Amino acid sequence: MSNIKYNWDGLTGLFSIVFGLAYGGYAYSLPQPMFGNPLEAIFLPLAVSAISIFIGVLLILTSGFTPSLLAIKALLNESPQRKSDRRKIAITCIICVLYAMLFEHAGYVISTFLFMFSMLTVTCGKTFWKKSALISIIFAGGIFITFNEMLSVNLPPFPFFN
Amino acid sequence: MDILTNLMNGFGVALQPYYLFLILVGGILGTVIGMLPGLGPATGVAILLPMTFSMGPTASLIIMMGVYIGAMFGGSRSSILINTPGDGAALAATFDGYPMAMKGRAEAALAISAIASLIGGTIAAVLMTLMAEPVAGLAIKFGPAEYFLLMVAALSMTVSMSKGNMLKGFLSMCIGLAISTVGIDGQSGLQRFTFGVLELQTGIDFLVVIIGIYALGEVFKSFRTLSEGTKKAQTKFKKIWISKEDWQRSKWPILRSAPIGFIIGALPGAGGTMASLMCYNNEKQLSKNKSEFGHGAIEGLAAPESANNAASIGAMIPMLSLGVPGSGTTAVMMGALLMLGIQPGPLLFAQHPDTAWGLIASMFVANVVLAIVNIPLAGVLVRLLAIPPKVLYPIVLSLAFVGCYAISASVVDFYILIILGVAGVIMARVDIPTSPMILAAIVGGQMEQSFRQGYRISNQDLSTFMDSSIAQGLLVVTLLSVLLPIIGAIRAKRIEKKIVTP
Repeated sequence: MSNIKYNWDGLTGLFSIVFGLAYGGYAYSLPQPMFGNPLEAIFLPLAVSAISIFIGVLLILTSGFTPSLLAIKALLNESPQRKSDRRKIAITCIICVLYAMLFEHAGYVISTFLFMFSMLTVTCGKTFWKKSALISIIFAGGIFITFNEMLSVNLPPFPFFN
Repeated sequence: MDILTNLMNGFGVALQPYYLFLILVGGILGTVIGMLPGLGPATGVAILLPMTFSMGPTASLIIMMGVYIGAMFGGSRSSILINTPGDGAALAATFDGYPMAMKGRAEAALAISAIASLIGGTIAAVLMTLMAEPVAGLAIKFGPAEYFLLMVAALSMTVSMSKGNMLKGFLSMCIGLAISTVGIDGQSGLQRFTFGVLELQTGIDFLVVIIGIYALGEVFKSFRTLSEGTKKAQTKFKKIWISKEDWQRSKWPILRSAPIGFIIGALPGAGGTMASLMCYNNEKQLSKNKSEFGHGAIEGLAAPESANNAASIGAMIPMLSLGVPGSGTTAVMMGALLMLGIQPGPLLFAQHPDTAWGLIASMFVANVVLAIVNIPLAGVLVRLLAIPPKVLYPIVLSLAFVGCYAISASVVDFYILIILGVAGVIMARVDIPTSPMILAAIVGGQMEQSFRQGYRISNQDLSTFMDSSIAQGLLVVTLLSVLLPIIGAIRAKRIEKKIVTP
């Protein structure tokens, strides 16, 4: 057991099989098109599904699950620094989702200011909040003017001035 | 003669003050982006994409070309000065570039990397000039069956050349193909995998996939370097130039590596990283000073620098001549062209000669402009390495979102972007290469349509995919690209066994 190197092949194989079954199953359950060969529209999805399942089986056969279990153990026993990095990624994702929810309602400048400020707080810390606020407002305003005025790309305007 | 006339016309376009200005701006932006650790040319071109929407196709391609070549020039700066490659292609520059800087030879290292990039890029541009149109001429003979097989070959080559386990490469390809099937099917009108979401009916734009993986994914991965802190770069230099002896040692490695880099770059999925590493190893084998490699051998820096610039130009061949992107960066450039209503491929040279030849001529011009920018101004440019990544990464994230919105004007793509960013991190963690997924997402739709067209034209006879000599050649390429790595792996295992049990 101690000679086994850890890797993610077994779990990747399992994912590949589940993905192939789910994708292929969904493709097979799609309604038939009104014209043409009824199977033509699902040729590629079914082929992709079959390849995924085949790859999954091969990955599991060549590697087994033991190295993947060791990989999970190693992941759980990672240094606090690495765990903190993962927490930062999770927080960033939440901020990104909130940004997406706010984007069209609050307009580009306000939502981007809040997004940038939050992100800079995550990366630089709370002590630099004045600098973070300044960078955020300059960036949000600058990009809005550049895109709306110079590049003719319409970003959502301020909500109160429409 | 035709080629020369066309090239001269191309120079007529590229040397116009407006386009020269774009090359300069793109080149400087690319150098800066390439220098910053974690941000490669694909990320650079992807986040700058919305800025090109208001330009014409020629201007748009030229500025992106400037960014691309600039990033290749810039990538090695951080390798040499802080031992952190700007992107994968600049990895080999750390092997001897950083030891040179540590020995007090940073000036020679910066100079030779720019000179090698200039020469490598120029040789590659000459090869591009000679090959682009003949390759496009061959592609005109392609029917739907050949196009389908070409894309299958490109995918299998990308899978076999991507790092890590080949099976995982195929899984990555399957995910990319699955992404390409989302939306209304163009031939039957059937809604596939839209899950009732209106915005998904038009499919997932491959640019969103690229931005998600390259911009968000890279920033997420870079949280690790944030916690490790950043290294301080040397910012004061003496004269940035090389001695006669340095040149004597570097000239042949530069000249040898350029054509190799160009050929590797033209292979789908291979790219600058493979080209530079291969040429580094090649020079190490050929060198009389093998022991110096890894300790500051100037030829160990010159060869990969020449190769990676040549590879970046080689990668343009499949995109321009065949309409199949050979790398992430050329995929973004192809996306920009499609958005501007121009279809890259064999007819590009006939229908839009100004754009095609203007771009080729701009490769020559960009290399010269960037050498001028990168040698005397190296001291000024490397000061940008002092920008803390903790400020830079939120800016990149924000630019990724605005770029995504500029493409589709839909917030639904933001969620897809976030999912793909996280997917990029997980894939890196479990060693699944991302390049097959990206290429599959790009060519998947066209590949499926080509297959179905070929299938219908032949009255549902599958032998149409083996009839022509081009189709047979492509099938052989596909089979070899899958079988050769397997045979290589089996051989390596046998040798390993022999060593363990003598």
